[in-house]
Amino acid sequence: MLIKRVVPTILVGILFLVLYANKAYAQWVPSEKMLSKAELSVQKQFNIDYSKSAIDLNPNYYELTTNDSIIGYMCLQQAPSKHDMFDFLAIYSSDMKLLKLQILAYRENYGGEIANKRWLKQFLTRPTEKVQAISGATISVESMKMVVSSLSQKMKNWYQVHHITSK
Amino acid sequence: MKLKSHILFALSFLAIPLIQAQNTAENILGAKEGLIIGGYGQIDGNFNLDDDNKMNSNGKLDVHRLVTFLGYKFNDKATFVSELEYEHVVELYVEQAFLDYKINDNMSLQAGLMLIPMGIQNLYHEPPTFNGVERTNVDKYIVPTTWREIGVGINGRLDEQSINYQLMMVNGPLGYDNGSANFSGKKGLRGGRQKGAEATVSDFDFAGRLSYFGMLGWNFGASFYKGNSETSDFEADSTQVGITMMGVDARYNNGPFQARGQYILANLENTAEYNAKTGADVGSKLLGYYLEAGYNVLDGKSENELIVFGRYENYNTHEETDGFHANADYDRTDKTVGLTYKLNQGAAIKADYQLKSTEASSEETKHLNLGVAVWF
Repeated sequence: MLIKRVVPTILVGILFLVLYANKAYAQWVPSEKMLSKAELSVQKQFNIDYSKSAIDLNPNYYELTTNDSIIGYMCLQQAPSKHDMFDFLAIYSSDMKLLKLQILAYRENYGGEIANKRWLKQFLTRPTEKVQAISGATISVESMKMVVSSLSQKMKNWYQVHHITSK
Repeated sequence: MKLKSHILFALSFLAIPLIQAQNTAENILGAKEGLIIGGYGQIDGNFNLDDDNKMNSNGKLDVHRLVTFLGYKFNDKATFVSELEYEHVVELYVEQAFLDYKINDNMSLQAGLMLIPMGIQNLYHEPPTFNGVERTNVDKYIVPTTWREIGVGINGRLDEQSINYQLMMVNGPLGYDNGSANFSGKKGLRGGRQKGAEATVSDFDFAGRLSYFGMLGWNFGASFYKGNSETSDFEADSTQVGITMMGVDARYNNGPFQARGQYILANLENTAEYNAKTGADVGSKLLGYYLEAGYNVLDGKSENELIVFGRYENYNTHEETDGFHANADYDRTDKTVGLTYKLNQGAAIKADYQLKSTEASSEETKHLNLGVAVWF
């Protein structure tokens, strides 16, 4: 009785978990073109030759180094718009200060106004909740605010843990 | 034992939403492909009031619009978009149905039944995106919202210039249908919308829109439409009118403060011949504008928004007439004050109070509107 009922039930449960977990953790892989677009922006930002290596937090987040000293971090990140996903680049300084945001790909016809540079610059100077709304792009604005603040938090946490363990 | 296995089974399912919730927060899924489901709706109550603000006639409770959005993303370039609309519960329409093909980051091709890019609300008509229970009347009598026809077009976004653009070749409104006039003095072009239903074509029209979002907090738009109305009598020029419509609009946001305004002008040619042929009273110039300002009183205090707003609106379908006197009844003014309570960007409860008048009389009629607005 036990083997007949409970074991298959658990197996089915595990199967579901594995399937969903796989889907949940399926890693987004940016195209080569997008990656080089991001690298060009990083080059412009620091104005120095650098090499990059992915950090253990996410294969799309990189540590940027010049002659073994860390100059900063670049993150390629996706966020949802109304019915699709958009991709953006976040550049952080070596002490995890946000230096630049750039929309790399916006796929929907509506809401693309978030690519506006002046709007994105607000994230560097004011708290996320003070970032202004954009008429006609409310959903993507809210999404960007949520994802940028969660990304910055994750990077800060990672940075602290990393620095404590490396000491 | 049986009970235990059921509990275990149920528990294994409980874990799924936990993982999915994390998934939504982490946002690490790839670009979506496949079926996209969404929709919007507005359920309204409209009441006419007397001088003492009591109901003076029967009110109306209406599932005004219920729209299901169904899209399919074939790959990163090709997407099909459709919106099926129930209006007043019993009328069924297709509001949009087009194939979108992305050529590059700055340009897409579209073909099918599309929204005419004129003014703010014809494009952004999801109820939680605007204040007031009903759409503005400029966007009913001057811009015949929801204005959509079959055609082909391009659109895109130039990030460096902060510009959105749209250009399309579409079918025009049907002005003359087997002896009867679809245009009227009171409602302008509204009666001529073909909505993609066995639409008659005698001429192709052009429509376009540019919007500029380079100034922080602002979104400016300029729209145009140029062409001839369609007619069932292919040979008779007197059954067609020439349409030139232009519009400018602006939207502004700054913290709790928001404002928007729109100005639409339509010049119609050949109305004297059209009216003589059909017996209609179509004006030769249609003009409408509104100005609206709102303030979110919950700003900084809550995730929700409570927007208090006021709007002044004037729309005249007889701004000019050719060969007869304009009817002052068609020069209409609406003053609206109201509340929009947003529970979320996609869900709102609305209430507003309107004073409506015409140039013909100094009397104002009073109206109370209550509504539920959703978008998902």
